[in-house]
Amino acid sequence: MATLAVPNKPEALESQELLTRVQTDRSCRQTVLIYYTSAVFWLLLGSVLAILASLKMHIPGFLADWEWLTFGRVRPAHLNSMIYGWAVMAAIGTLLWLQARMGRVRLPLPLLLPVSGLVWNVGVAYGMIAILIGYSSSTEWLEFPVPVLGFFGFCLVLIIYATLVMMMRRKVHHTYVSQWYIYGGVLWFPFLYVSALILTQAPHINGTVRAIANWWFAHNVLGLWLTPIGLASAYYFIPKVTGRPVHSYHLSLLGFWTLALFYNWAGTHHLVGGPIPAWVITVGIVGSMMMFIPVTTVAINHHMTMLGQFHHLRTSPTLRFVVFGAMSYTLVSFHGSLAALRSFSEVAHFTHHTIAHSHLGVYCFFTMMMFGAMYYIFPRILRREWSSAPLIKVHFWTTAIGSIVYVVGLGWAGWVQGSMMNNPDIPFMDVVKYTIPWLESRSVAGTLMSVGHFVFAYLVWRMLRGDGADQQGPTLLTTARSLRKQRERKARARERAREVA
Amino acid sequence: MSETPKPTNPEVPTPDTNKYEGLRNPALHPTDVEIRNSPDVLAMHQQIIREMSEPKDGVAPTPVWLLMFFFALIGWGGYYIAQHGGGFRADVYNENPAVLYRQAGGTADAAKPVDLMAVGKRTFNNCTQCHQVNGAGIPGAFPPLDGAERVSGPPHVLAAILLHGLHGPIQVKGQTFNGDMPAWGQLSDEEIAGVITYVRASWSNKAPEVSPALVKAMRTQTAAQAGPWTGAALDALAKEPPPAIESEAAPVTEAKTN
Amino acid sequence: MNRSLFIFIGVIFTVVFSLSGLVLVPDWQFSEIGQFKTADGTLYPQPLTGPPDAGRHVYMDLGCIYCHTQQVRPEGFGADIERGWGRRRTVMRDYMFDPINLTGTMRTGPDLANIGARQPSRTWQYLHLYNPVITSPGSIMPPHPFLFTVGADAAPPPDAVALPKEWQTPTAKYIIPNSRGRFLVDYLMSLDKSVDLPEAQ
Repeated sequence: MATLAVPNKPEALESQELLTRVQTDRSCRQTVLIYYTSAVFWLLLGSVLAILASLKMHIPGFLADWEWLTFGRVRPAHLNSMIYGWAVMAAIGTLLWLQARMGRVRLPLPLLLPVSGLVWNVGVAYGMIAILIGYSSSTEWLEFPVPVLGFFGFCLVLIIYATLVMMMRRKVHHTYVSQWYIYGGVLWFPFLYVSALILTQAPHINGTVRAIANWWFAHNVLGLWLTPIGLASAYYFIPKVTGRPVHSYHLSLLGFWTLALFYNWAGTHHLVGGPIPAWVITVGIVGSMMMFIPVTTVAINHHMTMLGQFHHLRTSPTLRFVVFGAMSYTLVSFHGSLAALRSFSEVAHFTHHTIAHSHLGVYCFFTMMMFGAMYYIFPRILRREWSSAPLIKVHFWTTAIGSIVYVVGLGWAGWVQGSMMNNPDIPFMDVVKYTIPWLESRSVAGTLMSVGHFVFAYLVWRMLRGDGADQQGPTLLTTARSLRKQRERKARARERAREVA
Repeated sequence: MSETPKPTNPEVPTPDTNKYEGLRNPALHPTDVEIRNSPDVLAMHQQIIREMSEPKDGVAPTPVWLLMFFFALIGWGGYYIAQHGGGFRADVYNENPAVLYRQAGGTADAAKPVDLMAVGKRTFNNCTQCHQVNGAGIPGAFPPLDGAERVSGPPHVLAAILLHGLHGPIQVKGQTFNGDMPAWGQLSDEEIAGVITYVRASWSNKAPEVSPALVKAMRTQTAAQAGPWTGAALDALAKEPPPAIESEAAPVTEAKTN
Repeated sequence: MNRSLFIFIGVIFTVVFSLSGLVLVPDWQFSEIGQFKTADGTLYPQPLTGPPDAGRHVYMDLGCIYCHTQQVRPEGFGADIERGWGRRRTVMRDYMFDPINLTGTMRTGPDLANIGARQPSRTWQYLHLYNPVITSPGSIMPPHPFLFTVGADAAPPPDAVALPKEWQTPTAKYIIPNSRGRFLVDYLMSLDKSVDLPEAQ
């Protein structure tokens, strides 16, 4: 910062911060760009695999002669592409940028972190190929073969290091709530991954304990990795875009520590009725119900921050996606807590209802949150603008409508499917036949969402190519109405200025 | 603390970095040069409204009703674990507290009248994979039950098939089927009687019901049977009279088998 | 400044706490239970070896768990037992030697915990794997033609399975399972949890 003479005025301090902001964004450019563009690539691949898997559900003969494209391989390939390719890479890009921004520090390891992005890609590609040619470990959410840990481990060590360094070097003594979440998530995820890999695949462990370890992991990937990063983004972007402080520090504190304490224990509700001693399941159910505490606090905190600021949703692409994500978070968490109960699980377990629920979590909450973050971060690190507001709108509405159709349709179908399955007088084939129209609706919804993904990828492509570099001011979703209001506001301001003069 | 208090009014935009053109590479960002040279304040402003200051924490207190709700929830959690925790034992799978503290020893089920058709319909869930829900079987692979001669024939033959299975070629409705039917001796007498009754009275079949006692007698009579029946052995069995049904174990007559 | 240290300790503590409570304690508790001695003196369960174990790998790599469970819920909870998927609920002991957990979480298709006892006909299994609609009209299970070779010779080899008349084509009158197909059916045949266990009530 010594390169620049800052005028010694009251606004000097602020200028300092603006200067830091520019330097921070610049330091993040390569790393975040590599993680983000790779994430978008895996998102597209995952979407194609998703459509394939969805079609195979109601057209079983579709591409059936190719063993590597059989349903049982395409489905885990879709999941892993979306989780380890899209979600995790988008999360890492976001958390590094947020951490640098909030600590007012530059991103450390300017050489190794971009390399880690490439290494992570190699790891995901290796795992995806392994699944498609038949070397899946057949453990849900942990299908990648063990050697992938080498690639992921290398990257995670660097990311932990970078996060710790940024935490130590931070220029602001006060730690903002988003920083706790990121810090927690970065420490939790590697621990989860390594211990779950050992407990599900090492010899001499009871097969059922493997199931518990499996769901302890799979649930915590969502709760202790994607949720913290998603919430950190919401806690950052909502006040950032609206310009208001977060409603309550106390609620943030309560929300974070109860999440840390209770989410850990929720995983075994996936095994209700399974070959697990009663107490393990009971503890899981109580852990899930206790999630009402952090979720209610976060919901109140976000809502009270947004109060009176909802007009920003008309114009800001970031806020639109982030608020959609934050509302989905509340919904998916309340639903998840109730779904853990034995009486609910008796019907909904083993059905498409669970699939709808997981998409409500990973898609409507996390993915939408990451879209919002990307709409904010891309222009900052590249210093260019999004080239088309109408395309952003197309992206929002296709993904929003698609995911709502997906979740509502499949959630309903799954509930009826479960009720029918629990009636032994209905032949099993009738249950299958009932679900088919809903599976077809899922294909339609999935296609709609994928259209949105391709539009988004096209926008990113145009941004990388340099379109929008000559644009002044952010690309906002200006509607005719908000434009008129904006004009009125300006006229009033001019009026006032003239009066003062 | 590098933050300074700022007006929270969003109408007043936060100044942005455009003052520091020296930081930028003009070749990369031609717009900066443009803005710097432009006297247009509006263009300048557009860049400035880009971003608000970094987020801050508010200090609203936690509502009391929320805390009350949380304490109530924690109380429920404790109660639920105590009630349904199964004593934290690895060999207790039923979460119902009544089961955990129940005295050892079975509960004597009072003999209830059984609806054989209902039992049979459920048990038939085991059969639909081959014989199908409509009893039509798979032509060329698995024989039909609907309209089959043996199904409406002597019931003790059906009991024998279910108890020990079937192997090799058989004739059903003029077609030859060459396959295997597994033995279902692990089912109870009641379930076997139920499923026989069900297939004899479903679709176009109109044969009378079969009692569990007959299945029991058949089980005793064919206890020595080692493998599945063949078509020929069944034809021979059909010509024999059905076993005598008694409440006590009948004197075992030597089973005629292959 | 010590806030970051405080969060560090808290974060690590919570996750280690739950790992111990949910995963390690059940494992330790179960280590005292072991196999069950049946009335005729054999021990149940036994670890899989040979062809069924090879078949387990086929089951894993074809992703069967994404549509099939291998667990029976207790009487009065769902209708697993009434549907004939098992005579009793499954318990930890049934899976004590499983090197990978295959209990599954989805029932697009029926439960397979006792498929070896429920459907012991290998012919059925082969036809169903080759094209599920042959034996189960309306099924949405994907066909697995890559586990078979087809033939149309007048004198089929001994391990051939004849296709039903309406499914025959000029080039495919019978199917012959390849080694992976045979292993997979061996594995399915081995799935039988009908031994009565005292804790499974």
